[in-house]
Amino acid sequence: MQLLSYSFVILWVIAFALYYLVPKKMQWYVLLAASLLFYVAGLQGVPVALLLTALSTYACGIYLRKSLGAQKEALLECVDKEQKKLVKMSYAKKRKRMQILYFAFNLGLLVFYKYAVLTIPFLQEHLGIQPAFLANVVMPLGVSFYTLTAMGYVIDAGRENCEIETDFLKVLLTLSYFPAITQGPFNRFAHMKEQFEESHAFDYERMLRGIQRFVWGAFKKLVIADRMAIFVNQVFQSEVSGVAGSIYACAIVFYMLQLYADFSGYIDMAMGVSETFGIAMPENFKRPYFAKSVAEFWRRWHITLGLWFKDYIMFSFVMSGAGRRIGKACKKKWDTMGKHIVPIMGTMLVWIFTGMWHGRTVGYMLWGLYYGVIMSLSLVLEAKYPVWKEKLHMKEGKGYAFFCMARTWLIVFVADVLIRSEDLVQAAGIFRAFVTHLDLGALLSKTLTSYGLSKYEFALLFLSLLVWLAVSLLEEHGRDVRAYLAARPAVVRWFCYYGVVLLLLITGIYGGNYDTAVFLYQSF
Amino acid sequence: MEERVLEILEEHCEEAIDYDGDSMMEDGVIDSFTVINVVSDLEDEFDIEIDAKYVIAENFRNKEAIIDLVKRLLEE
Amino acid sequence: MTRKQALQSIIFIGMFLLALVPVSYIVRTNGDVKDRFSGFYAEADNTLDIVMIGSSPVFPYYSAPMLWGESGIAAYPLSSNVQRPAAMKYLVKEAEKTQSPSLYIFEMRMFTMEDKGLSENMAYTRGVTDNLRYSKNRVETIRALVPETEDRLSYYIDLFKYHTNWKMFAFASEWENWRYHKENEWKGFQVKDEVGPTARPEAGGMEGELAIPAEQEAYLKDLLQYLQENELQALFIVSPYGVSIEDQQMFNYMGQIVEDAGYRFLNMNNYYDEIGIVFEEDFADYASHTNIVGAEKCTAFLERYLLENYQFTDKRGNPLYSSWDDAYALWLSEREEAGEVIAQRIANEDYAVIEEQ
Repeated sequence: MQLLSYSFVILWVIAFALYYLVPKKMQWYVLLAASLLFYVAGLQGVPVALLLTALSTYACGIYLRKSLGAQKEALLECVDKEQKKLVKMSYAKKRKRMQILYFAFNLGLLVFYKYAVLTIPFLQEHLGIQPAFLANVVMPLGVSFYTLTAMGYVIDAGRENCEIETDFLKVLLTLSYFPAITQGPFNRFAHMKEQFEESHAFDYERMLRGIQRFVWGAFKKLVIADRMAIFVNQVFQSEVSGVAGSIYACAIVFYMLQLYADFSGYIDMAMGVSETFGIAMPENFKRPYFAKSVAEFWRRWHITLGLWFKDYIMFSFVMSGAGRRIGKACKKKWDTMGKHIVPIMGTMLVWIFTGMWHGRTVGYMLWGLYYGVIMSLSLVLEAKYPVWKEKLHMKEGKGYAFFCMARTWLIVFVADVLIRSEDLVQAAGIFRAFVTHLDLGALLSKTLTSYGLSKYEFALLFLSLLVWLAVSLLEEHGRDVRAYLAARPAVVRWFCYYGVVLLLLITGIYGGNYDTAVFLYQSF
Repeated sequence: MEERVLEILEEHCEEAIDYDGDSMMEDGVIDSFTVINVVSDLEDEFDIEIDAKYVIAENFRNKEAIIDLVKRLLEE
Repeated sequence: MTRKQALQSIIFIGMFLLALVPVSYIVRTNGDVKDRFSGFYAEADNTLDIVMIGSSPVFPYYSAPMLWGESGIAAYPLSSNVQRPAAMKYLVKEAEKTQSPSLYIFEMRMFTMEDKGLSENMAYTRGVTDNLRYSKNRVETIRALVPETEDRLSYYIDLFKYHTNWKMFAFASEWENWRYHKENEWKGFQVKDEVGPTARPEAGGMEGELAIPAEQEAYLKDLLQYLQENELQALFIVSPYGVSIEDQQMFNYMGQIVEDAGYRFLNMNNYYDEIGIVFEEDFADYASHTNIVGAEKCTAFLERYLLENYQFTDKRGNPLYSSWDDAYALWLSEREEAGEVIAQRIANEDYAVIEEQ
């Protein structure tokens, strides 16, 4: 099912009504039922992959719990520190073995579902096999999302950083929770469990806030993202040699905004839905394009993914035995520079995985490497910034802040050329066009409107972006826009609500002659 | 001991000393590289091993939490 | 939820739904069909003598302004392109809401085609449903015409489809449609001044019968039954065109059914000479639709037929019908102008170019 569909709205309304009618202790069952319905709708048969992950996660959790319990008892019988250490090590070893088995299994599932299709041409060409069963492999909904959530939980459970779930159905619910299943945000088990178990009384204001956030998300998706997509798609489908560099630049800027509107729009919708049930999920976006450095950009963009990689890959690597050994050795050899080596290795690791997680193309691999290198460079160069600033007579202030933001946009801009291009040849062609065939005049001529968007559409986009910018600026200054509106007189408030809803219904790209584009992040 | 922890923290991230909230990592006061450097220096200074499992937002929510963490690890 | 909150929610949603109605009327695709239907709603209650229902062979063939100007009969076409026969009954119901015409005229060309072929292109269905005002009859029409498998919701609430037309808001002419109630200066008639010559069909006047598609026969019988039950007067006509032998035989077949039910059937393909139609000059698009010269001849023929077979009171001079007098004046001037264009085109052999769809 899709969050943007009539059937979802019906499911939402029914689940919402039931949720507040059943006894409070049963509320999470309603969420579970809705999640399963959401997941199974449009699917033929049983969601095997999801169930396998849920079952293995549950079983692994139970094993870890038992092992930790047994370890505790064994420790009581120990007499000295040395013995305690040995006991701990022996149990930890067993747990680690189980966790490795678990990771292998679930990563295997993820890789299989994500990459199986890619192997078909290879198998056909080089081995002459017609892998009919592979051709039928369909990537399960949300597999990239729930697998990471599940693995994160097992790591935390092993680290004794979270309570271990003893109820299989709650494991299943946390993994399949319908607002988050298709595109996140990544939830943490401990955080969700607490909320699922709480009793939630109906709250009118909360319901309104949830609906408002949902509508706002749909607005970003349908009015802004999908409209920009028309232009972006046409530009990228055109013959490289025929497109002016300035048009490409415009298309990439649009793509930067499209991705943001699309993904954050979805997240707003998901958060809105969840809010009506009184379940808070972690924020996934904090206006990334106001970031003053790439590192900050990624702390504001897809936040929960960044945290996942930081907690479970970065720190796991740097603070592992191997990481520590390498770190010590490097520090001895190169001193200050040496201490950067391990963090850089961790960064590269994180970014290679991030690239692989996002896409299956070479473009995404390069994109990951690109960010890895930039992050590593900025790590090394950070110490030099104050010196350069001094030399260039740059002063802190609004101008400098804007310079930093623009620099960040430029870096993201280059990255997005890599992932939006159909292939590397096109990406190279685009960079070439910037130099050889920029033709800034094209932006002011009829050329601009020859890619699927008329001047009316551009005007509308401009207007919508202004509204979005205004809301973002308010939020950036710590204002809660929904609360602000709620405190206005009814006339003003209703005028704004009607305005957004009518704009959405009338100018949204859905139904009619358009195909509602699938959410971009769903394919990741 | 506390003094030394604060000195190490200040060396890598001055803002962390003045910070008085309780979510230093989420608020972007201290980024992951800084955390790694602080951890590495704390390990050298106090001859302890700070396992990845301790490097969570909870233990780095503010300077007091870090001091607390080092204390706990020293006791072990 | 307090009572105040509940009340507020209801008012909010209610006002919203109310606002959707004019918005969706405005964004419906502009063009002659929209203007024709919204013009129908703008006619004063119970003023029409005749309502003509049928497909595209209605509006370019019969000039309502001319019929008015010459005989004082007010006839208005409720016709859309490739209109499915299944829709006819519902259009009668729609007309009955505001009008009580003494005669309904049905154009029968579409009955020769299978409904399946017509229902596959949703534009043919939407030509009817998306030009009706929101009402219970509209819901019933949709239920009758749109298969359940299709996305009926976007038929019920056509804004879901037409919102892509939001540029309509930039046109003042469409703002006038906010109630779907806008006077039509042509009374539904469409002027064509192109010339697309064709040969006079040999099938015209031919005898012999051929069954029409079964579902169309069922629709026809259902319509006849409905007319009988409600004691409505009706005339079934076929306009002259490049008729094929099969079509001609099908018209003979349906003529029998219509006459058996006690209604008149007038296949104008049996009267080319009486009409005086010249296939080489009077058609706009090579045998399917007449230009204004052909329209004048067809209208005149129908007019004679109506006056011979039915009773109408001449309403000319009645102030209620002043807009009809204006339409007649418009017709006279346009007839002359377009007539010259057509004569020129025939002289220059400057024939119409039919755009590929």
